[in-house]
Amino acid sequence: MAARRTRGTTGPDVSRSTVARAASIAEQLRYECSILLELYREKESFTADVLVDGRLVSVAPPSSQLATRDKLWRLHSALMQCRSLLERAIAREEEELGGGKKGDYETQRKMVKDRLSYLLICTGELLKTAGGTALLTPSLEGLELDGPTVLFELKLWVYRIFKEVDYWTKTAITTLEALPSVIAKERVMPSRVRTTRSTRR
Amino acid sequence: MVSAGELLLLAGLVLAVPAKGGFSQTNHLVTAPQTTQFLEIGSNFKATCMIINTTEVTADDLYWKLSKTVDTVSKELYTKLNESAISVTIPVTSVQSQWLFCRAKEGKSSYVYLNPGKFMYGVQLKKGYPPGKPENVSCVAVQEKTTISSIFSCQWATVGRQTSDVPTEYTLNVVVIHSQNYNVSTEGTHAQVDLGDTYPHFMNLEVWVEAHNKLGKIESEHITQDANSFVKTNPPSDIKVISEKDFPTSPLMNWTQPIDKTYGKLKYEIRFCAIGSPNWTYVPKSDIAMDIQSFRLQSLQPYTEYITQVRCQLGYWSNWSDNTTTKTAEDRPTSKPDVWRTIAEVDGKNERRVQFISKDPVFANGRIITFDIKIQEQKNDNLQWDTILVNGSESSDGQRVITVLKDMLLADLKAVKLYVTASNSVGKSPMASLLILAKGHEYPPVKGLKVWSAEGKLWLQWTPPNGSGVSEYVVEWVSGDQTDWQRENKHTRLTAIKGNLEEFVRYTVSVYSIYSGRIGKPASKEVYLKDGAPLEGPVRLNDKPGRNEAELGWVEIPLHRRRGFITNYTINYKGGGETHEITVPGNTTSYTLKSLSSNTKYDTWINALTVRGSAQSSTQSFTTLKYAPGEVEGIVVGVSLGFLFVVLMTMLLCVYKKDVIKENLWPRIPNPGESTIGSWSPDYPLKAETPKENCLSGISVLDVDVCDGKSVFEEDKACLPLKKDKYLSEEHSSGIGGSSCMSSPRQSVSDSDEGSDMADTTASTVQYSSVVASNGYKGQTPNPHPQQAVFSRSESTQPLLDSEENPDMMIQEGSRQSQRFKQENPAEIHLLEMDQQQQEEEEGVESLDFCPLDEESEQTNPSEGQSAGSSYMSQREGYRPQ
Repeated sequence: MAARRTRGTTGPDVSRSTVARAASIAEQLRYECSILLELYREKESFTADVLVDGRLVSVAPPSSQLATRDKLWRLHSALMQCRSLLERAIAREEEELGGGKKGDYETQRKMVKDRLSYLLICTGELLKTAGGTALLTPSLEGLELDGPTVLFELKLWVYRIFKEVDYWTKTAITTLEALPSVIAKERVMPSRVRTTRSTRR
Repeated sequence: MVSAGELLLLAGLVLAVPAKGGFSQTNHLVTAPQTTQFLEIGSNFKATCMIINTTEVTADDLYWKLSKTVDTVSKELYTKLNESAISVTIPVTSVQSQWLFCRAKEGKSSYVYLNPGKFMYGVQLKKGYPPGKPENVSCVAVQEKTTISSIFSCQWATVGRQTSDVPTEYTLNVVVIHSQNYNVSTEGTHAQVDLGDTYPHFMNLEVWVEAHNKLGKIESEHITQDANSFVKTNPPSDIKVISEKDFPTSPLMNWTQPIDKTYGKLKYEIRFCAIGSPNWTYVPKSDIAMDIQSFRLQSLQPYTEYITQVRCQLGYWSNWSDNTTTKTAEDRPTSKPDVWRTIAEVDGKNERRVQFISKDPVFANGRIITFDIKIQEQKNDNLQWDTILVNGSESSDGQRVITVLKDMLLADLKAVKLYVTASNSVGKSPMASLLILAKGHEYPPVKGLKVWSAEGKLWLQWTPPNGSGVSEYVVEWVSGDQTDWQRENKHTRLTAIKGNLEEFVRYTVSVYSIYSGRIGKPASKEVYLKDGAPLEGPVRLNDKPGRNEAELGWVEIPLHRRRGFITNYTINYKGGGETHEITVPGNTTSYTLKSLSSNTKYDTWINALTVRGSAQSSTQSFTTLKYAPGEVEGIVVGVSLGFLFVVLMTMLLCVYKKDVIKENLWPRIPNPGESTIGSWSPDYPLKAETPKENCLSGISVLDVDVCDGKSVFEEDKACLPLKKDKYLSEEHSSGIGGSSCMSSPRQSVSDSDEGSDMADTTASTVQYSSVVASNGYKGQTPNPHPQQAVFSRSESTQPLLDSEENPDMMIQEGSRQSQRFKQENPAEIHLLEMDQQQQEEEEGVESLDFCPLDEESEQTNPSEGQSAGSSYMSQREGYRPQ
């Protein structure tokens, strides 16, 4: 093992590697999420023609005009909502269907949730690096966190959440890939300066 | 000098003691510190003792003592703080934990003496070392099923020493940066943390180990790395190597990566080796792209089985995958067939039996199907190619199969050249050739060939032959009828035989220098790869015992059972309680034991020795002979010869000394009563009563022919018939018969006189003699009257004895008699000279003397001889005319 002993690495390397790491995690999440969907469909005997429409996550509409920070903010916010929905779905499933079982589905579900968390850490870091305020926690208002009470609807709701995670993971990949590290640095640095200046003011 | 801090400490102690309750109220000494102290070995420790609630003792009465020691702490180390307090500073040296006691002298007062427990206080000292900085921290997360396990395992190395009193504990800290912290403690050098079910790929991890004990703590270097750098995946699976006919040297391999590529891009490493090759060939890493699942190998040998392995790396290199074996496709042979020959002499002919043999080309690149050969005996031969089909079987031991191409008889004075190509299913090899020169025209051999065994191989070293032109060398090794060879380039001076040699087998190793296809004379040595003791002893032949020696014979151990060079044989024989050993050279197959005892049983056995050991023959026994061969026969022959000699000597004695014997054994005593003389002459009365007169002293023997009898004694014919019968019977028994030997000399004399011719012609009936009774007989008594002569005649068929035929003896005797006659009667000398027969007749007369007394009388009466001579003369006269 080529041990890299790094302490306090900062600057462009961090942002560059963070974007790359975030993209890699997003790719991983997408892969794991696809497995989760497959397991869920298999578990619930859903066929591919089971369609769920409408978005559970509500963010600002995408636009090519958005700045990197805003793109990251939008992404980060959506992923935050996804994680909240996912946590709620897991909780509801365990409430309704009983917990403690540790099968492949449950393992994969946990893995997706954890991976989403890691992705959020990266996007949050990028957002911070890009000048976005860390304090600005995305609002979870308006999310259907309780979910339906009817079992079938609950299952569909869970399925919709998984699909929502899958969707926003793919969006994350797209967004991050379109976010070159150099550009990020260039765009991050002024914003950080601007933020600092505004803070000072 | 007491410091302000110490005073404060004392004040604190004084204030604190009452609060402690009963024990302190009863104890008058107290130390600072009071609790167990962990001390670093090599440092100094300072303690203070204070007197409380008593005036029985002062600081001067206090002393310090360490447990497990005899003496008190030296007073030099004490410091008196005031009248009621004393401190001590001791160096911490030993590893063992100890108690440090503060005590008061007991003799100070009776109270102190009676209450020693109240004047003592102790503090426990535990000693150790501060923790060393952990080094070489390394962590790994291995693959579990299709994902990486969240179990994060680390190990490290400790530095510095520890004691059991002050153990060091290690805490493994793993931080997923911007996420969670994980830690676990252990006293060992490895630990695991669970990173929460999901391994944080692509997240940065910070890892360090903290070592801590009672004397301090220290952290290892912090390792901050991508979590993937700690990952060790499984090796790639489903390795397949696909051989393609169009790419015989470049098979395509593919595999399945162990983990989804979203977990990270994997690096790969590939290695391969031909089966039987000890070394791996690694594909350069720079030639292998990341995150691939297929690769085309290059520069492999066609038609060769290869083992291929792959491994991958995310963080750590995975293990190598399982072996994947694939055989590359066939290609045209790219090297010449390896052709060679064996030559055997043909007895009685000026020819050689040549066998051309060949191995497949080194780069056969496929299965050789045919060999095409052409043999050229003359320069301008235009021969066709012969195709030899090959069985196609392959050697199981990796050795190339030897194919017999051609057997032929080749005249000694002829040369021959062979051209060979080998073909597989794809194409034909380049052509090889081999030239066998006429006998006696071979090129010189290499010099100084040495062959030895080392490291399980046979090594050869040689010096090139004189002159240049050697293009290569062929090393040949032969065992029995197995021949194999290998080629070496012309610069080779030292090499090892690459073939599969067997241990305990004798090989004849030869080096041939090759001059552009022309074969030089070989230099050869016999050698074993590994020699050992023979498997069996020599086979014994039948012993050939003698009287004091025995010849032992044996047959050499068969070559395949010999397992080494026989250095010598030891012959052991045991007989009469002693065992003897004789060593003979290894090329001996018989030996004669000597100085053995006769008629003794000997046990013999023979050991055959190599440098590695020996083997013993069966034990054979023989018993030496009582007599040497021929000894008995010699004795018998000797005895027989001796007996024969004795018999012969006896016979000779009898023959030559018959008279003496007869005289001694059977002395003749004439029996006058039986004398027939009286009857011969009836005119004279028998006078046998007087021995003198009975002795026949004047008897003469006269040989006559048959006809003589008729002519000479014509006038006596009248009386002959009368006398004949008597004389025959009488003379036979007394003079001529086998038992008597007295008369035969007389007869022989007479026969010899006349010659043997006559005797032969008278084989049937021989008239031996006529006994003449001369007048002299009667004349012993002088008688003036003329006496009538009486003739006695004898006839017999009895053959003459040898002695009777011997004239020499008679001559000697006759000469003696003649001398006597010369002296006695010179008048008759001329007569004697004229005819030797007459002497013999006289000799016969002498020999017929029966009594020595008569001789004397004869000598004394020469006149009587004269008278006998006169009558004799008359007979001669009648005889001579014949």
